[in-house]
Order: sequence, then structure tokens, then C-alpha cells
Amino acid sequence: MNTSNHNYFTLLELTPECEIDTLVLEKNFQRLQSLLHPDRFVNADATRRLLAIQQSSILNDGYKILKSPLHRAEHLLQLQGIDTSVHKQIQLDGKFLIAQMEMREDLENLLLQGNAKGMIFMQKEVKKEITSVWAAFKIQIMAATYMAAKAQFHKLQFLYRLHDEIRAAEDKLLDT
Amino acid sequence: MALFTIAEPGQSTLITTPRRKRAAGIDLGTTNSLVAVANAGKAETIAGSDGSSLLPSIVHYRADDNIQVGVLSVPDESILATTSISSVKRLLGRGRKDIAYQLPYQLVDAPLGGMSCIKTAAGTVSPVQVSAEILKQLGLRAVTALGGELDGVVITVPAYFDEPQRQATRDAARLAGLNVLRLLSEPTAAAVAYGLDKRLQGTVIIYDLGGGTFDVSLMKLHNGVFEVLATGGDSALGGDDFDRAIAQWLVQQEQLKNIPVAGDYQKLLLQARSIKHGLSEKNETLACYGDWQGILDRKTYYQLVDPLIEATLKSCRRVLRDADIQIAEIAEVVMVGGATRCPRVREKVTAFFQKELLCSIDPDKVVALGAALQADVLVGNKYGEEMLLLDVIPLSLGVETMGGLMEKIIPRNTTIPASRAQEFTTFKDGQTVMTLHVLQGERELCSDCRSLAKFELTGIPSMVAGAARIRVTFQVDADGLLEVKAQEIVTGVNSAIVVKPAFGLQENEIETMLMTAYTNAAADKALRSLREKQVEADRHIEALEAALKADGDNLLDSAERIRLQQSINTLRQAAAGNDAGQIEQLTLGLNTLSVEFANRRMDMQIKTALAGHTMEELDHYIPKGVND
Repeated sequence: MNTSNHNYFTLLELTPECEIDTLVLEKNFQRLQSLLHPDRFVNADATRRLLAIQQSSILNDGYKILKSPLHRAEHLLQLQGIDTSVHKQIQLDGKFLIAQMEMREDLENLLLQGNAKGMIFMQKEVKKEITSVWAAFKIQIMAATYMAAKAQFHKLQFLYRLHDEIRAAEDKLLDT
Repeated sequence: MALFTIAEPGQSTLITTPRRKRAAGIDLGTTNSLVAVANAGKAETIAGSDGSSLLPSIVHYRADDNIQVGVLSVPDESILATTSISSVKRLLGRGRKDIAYQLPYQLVDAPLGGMSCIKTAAGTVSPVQVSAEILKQLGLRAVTALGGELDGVVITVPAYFDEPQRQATRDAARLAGLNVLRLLSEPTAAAVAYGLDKRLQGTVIIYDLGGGTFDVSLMKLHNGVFEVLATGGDSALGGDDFDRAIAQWLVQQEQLKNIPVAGDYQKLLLQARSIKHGLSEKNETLACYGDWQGILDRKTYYQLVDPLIEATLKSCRRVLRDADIQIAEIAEVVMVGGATRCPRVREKVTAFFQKELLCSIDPDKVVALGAALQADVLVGNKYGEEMLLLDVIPLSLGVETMGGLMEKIIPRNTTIPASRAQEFTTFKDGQTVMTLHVLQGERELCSDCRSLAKFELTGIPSMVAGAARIRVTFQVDADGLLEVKAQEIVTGVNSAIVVKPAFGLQENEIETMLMTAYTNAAADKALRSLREKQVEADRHIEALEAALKADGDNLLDSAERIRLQQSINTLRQAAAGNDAGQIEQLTLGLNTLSVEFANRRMDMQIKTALAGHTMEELDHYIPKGVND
């Protein structure tokens, strides 16, 4: 998602870490946005207004990325020069991949059955998995073993994607 | 005025204090439009000559080229020679295919499936021109109230308005001669009004059901920060549809196969509307159409409109899920828009959110008030309250990819301003041109999304297929408007972009409209000029009379005093008339005549001020600005 070379931690005045204080993040974001936002430059010349749009956009991006645990994790890896794009990913845990495929098949069945309760239960399981993988990721980051951290990050990507798919399936059931 | 202002030592009458800027907020609504002004956190709507703040969004085009804005209907004898255009907001940025219901006027297909125009007794007009007529009226109200030309306006748009609809709104403002400071989302405007006036805080829902559009915004309000978390709605759903449902029912009762045309249909809709209002008060109401007469009761009425209300609740559900917020976390539900007065709407929304609804600010006026508050800040009048508005883009922006699929580049509910870059490459050797089809919407297929524009990138350096790396940057500004730039990275060449907007007006079309507007504007301008001269004359008279009351007796002899008084009287008389030139001349004359009096007042004040100061103090007294 981040195709630029910005260090969003620096931009938002936070220490680059896995866990951040979201209240501080929000406060810093609002303070900076108050200074940079295009609303402050409505009467300025075209160049200044364009700069405001660009700076404000970058700030909005940074806030969104740091607020999301998954994107924050990715950003931490990118700051270490690790390429997080999918096609360069290392071999993932085979057992993990099979489990993911099975869960997706299960989800399809749940959708066909219209089983909302089953989906709620599955979502809980996925959230538990995310918590434990996140813990493993943190350990790797603190030990500065970034390739191992990258492996955990890709697992997180899978899990969050599954989380979204369960969400979408629940939406489908609600709309019918 | 400076002539009569006496300052303390250290100040100078010659310093020009920055004039308070004149700004207004405009709610360009489907059914009614309003204009409001604000000062230091307090806003007020401006009434027209009829005493009402609501200006019906109806424009009548007469065969004799006469244009009338704001009256509900024209006299019966004019009906045949008049085309009355109501709810034009529904046509802004829309094509023929978008209008799925009958209108009381005729649409003309635009070339290339662009924005529909309307056939009127005075020729074909664009919805942009019609909207401009309404905006002009509102602008005039503000100019009169503030005593001079406006420095800027904030115009509100439904949060769910897409790119072509927003562009069309901006074009209408330009045509009306208004300087748009910001296009503000209607729910956000309402939140600002409640935030500043009622100190509303927390996670709130703004439920905005207007005449033709529906918005629901989930926002977080905290310490002057207004953050939109998610927004949803339907830009073609509103109180008008309730009217249409009743009208359809009436026609069915009469067992007419054909729905009436033009003027008759307009009358039918107005009747349906009054029936709708009647049912807000009573359980049943008398209804008649043609030869048929009967009763429409609430139970039947609810059957007609419940599906419409359910559609709004579906958007509410979606918005909660998008933001990942539960109903229990909502602190307040704010009702905005005239249609929220409908008891059934209130009943259903209360049940859905399981809480009492907030409607303490007039739902018809709250949007204009919020816009005025923002306009006052944006134009540069500071008063201490820092406000930060963080809005979002309501619909995803993307491009067409292989197989007619829509690939999203900026997802919906992304905070704006937003910027995303995407790389594309050539698929043929030596390819120097590339077409990018930009769309807006949530569906998978391009054909189900709204086509915004086709960008033609030319000047791509000739290379082997796949070698070129064209970086396309999509930038959405604070108004929610899109700009696209492209650069070939390998060579650093900026590709030229020709934008073919699907719905917008081409630049030359706007130019032509502006030309036509100037000729009509001559009359508008004359009226505005007269108003300004009258206001200026009044000011001078007021100031001079106050000065005479204070010092007339001790500084002027009776002959001088009588001369001044006569001059005042002549000016006062002229200001009550219509001759702008005469008023201006007499004002100048009065000014000249009173210079001597002003000088004497200044001398006297300085003497009084200096008395009691030592010579040393006076040595260090440097009158500011006098020698600039």
C-alpha cells in the first residue's frame, strides 16, 4: 500500500515500534493536520494550495497506516529495507497454508448454508490466531531477525484477508 | 468612515484595519435553498423579501426570456408559455439514463451520453445554468445583508455526490459569479452547526434526508475536530420520492392508464406533497384526483413509503459496518433535512438506532448554518475556535483493467485529501499512447460503475513492450474532486493528458454560458451597484450625524451646520431612489463638505489627548503610518 519512501513514524512523531499509543497518534495527527490542511490555505496561491493537498494526503496516509496493526507491521519491515510485496515472499509454513485453504472452504459452505452463527465462531478463531501470530511477529522484530518477522507478517496478511472474507460473507447474509 | 474615526496616540486614522471579509454558506437543496452568514461562531440564515429563509429551488423559464426564481407556481395564464423546473439538483452531472422516473419537464439527450439538458419555453438549458440562477439569488441576498461583494462562499453538496455531480455544482457557482472556498458535505456541515452551537461531541450519526438526496455519515466529534469515519447514502432518494409514491397511488385510484404531462403533473406532485404534509398531522386525509375522491390513511401511506425508508436504513447498516462501529457506541443521532419531519421516518430511525433523535436545530436550516460557519473561518475571519474538518471520499475511484473489470485505486471512505500512485506499462513495442478509463463505484464490472473520464496519455517514449513505467497519480482534493497526472519514470517525461469528462461541461461550453450570463448579468449588476451605493450613503449619513451630535455645536457655526444638514437631507432623499450615479455623486459631495469638520474634530481630540503629557513623552511619540 505504501509506495513511497516516507517514514511515517518520524512524520507523526512516534518511535518506530510494534505497539503504539493510539491516543498520542491521534493527537499528533490532528495537530499536524491543523497546520497543513488545505482549509488553512484557501486564499493562498495555486502552488501553496497544491503543496497543502500533497502534504495533507501524505499525513492522512501515514495516520491510516500507523493506525492499522497490519499496515504498521508492514511499514516497520519496509523501513528495514525488506520488500513486503507478495511475489517476493519466502516459503510459508506448509501446515499454515493448508489450514488457510481449509478455512476458506469451510467459509464457502457456511455461506451456502446461510450459517451466520458458524461465521461468528470462525471469526473468533481467526482473531485468536491473529493475536498469537502478532506476538510472534513482535518477538522477531525486537530480536531484529527481520526475515523471520517477514514470514510472520505474511501469515498476518493471510489471516486479515480471511477476516475480511468472513466479514463480506456475513454482509451477504445480512443483505439477503 | 476613516474620516470620522479618532484614534488614541500610538494609533493612527491612516492605518487601514483589515476589513472583515464577507463570506456566506449556501445550501443548494433539491426542494429549497438557503444562504446564511456567520460571525464569531454564530450563524444566521438570510430571509428574502417574503420573510422566509427558504428559497424554493424552482426556476421558471418564460417564452419572453423572463426568468423567475423561487416562486412555487406561476399564474395559470402563464403556464403554457412557461417551463417550471423543480428539483434540478437531481440532474446535475447526470445523464438521461440516470433518471428512472417521470419529470414534469422534458429532457434533451446530450451528445455522447453526457449531462442531460432541459427543454424550456425559452430554449434548451443545462442543469448547471438553472442551478446558477438559484445561486445568483442567494448571492444577492448575502451581498445585501453584508453590504458588499462576497469574498467567498462555501456551497454544500450531498456527501454521496460523485465527481460529475460535484464538478457540475462548482461550474454552476462559477457561472453565478461566486468564488467557491470549499464544497462541503451536507452532513459534515450539519455536524459543524451542532458542534459549535450545541457542543455536540462523541461518535454520532448524521441522518440527512432531503428532497432528492439521502446521506448518512458516521462521524467522530471531539474538541473542534470533525472526522468522518464512513459515509453512505443514495443521491437519488429523498422526499420527492415520497411525493411520487403518493402521486402514483392517486393515479391508480383514478384508474387512469396514462400519467399526465407537464404542468398537470407538476400540480399533481404539489398536491401529493400537501397530502404528505397533511398525514404528518392527522391519521388520514382527503385526497382527490380528476374525478376521483377518497381518503388516504396513514396505514396505506406507510405501505407506500416504508420501502424507501428501509433503503435508507440499509445505508445506515453499511456505514456502521464500514467503520466497524456498533449501534451501542453511537452517542447521538442527528436528523437533517425537511423530509426527516415525517413521523414515520422518525419512528423507524428511532427504532433502528434505539435512541431518541436529536433535532434541536431546524432541520431545514442546519446545513446552511454549518456552511456559513466554515465559510467565515476559511475566508480569513479568525475568532479563536480552531476547527478541523476531515471528510472522506464516498465512492471508490479506480481504473478499467483487462476484461472490463474495475480495479480500485482509492477505496471509499478514504480521508481526503488523498493521493495514490499506480504504475502502468505498455503492452506493444513502440507504443506511445495509452488510454486510461477512470471510474467511480463499488461494483466489479466497469459497466456497473460510473465512467468519469477517459484519459489519453500521449508522448510515451517509444520502447520495448513492458519497458515503460508510467506512474499515474490520482489526487483527490478537499472538495472531493479528482486530478490525474502521469509521468514516464524511465525517461522522466511528463505524459500529456487530455481529459474527456463523461458528464462535465467542456471549457468552451462554460465560456459560452458565461457570455450569455454576462448579458443578463448587466441587469443584475446594476441592481447590486445600486444597493451598494445606498448602503454606503446610509453609513456616511449615520456617522456624520453622530459626529454632529457630539461636536456640531462647539466646532461649527450655524451657517456651516445648516449647509451640512442640507447636504445630508439631499443625500438621504436620493438614497431612497433608484439613481446610483446620483447617490454616488452626492455621497462624494457630502464627504468633501465635511472634511473641514473632521479636521477640527481631530485637532480637538489631539489637544485633549496631549494635555497632561510631558514634553519628553511627546518627543517619543511617533504617529504610526502617517509618513508611509
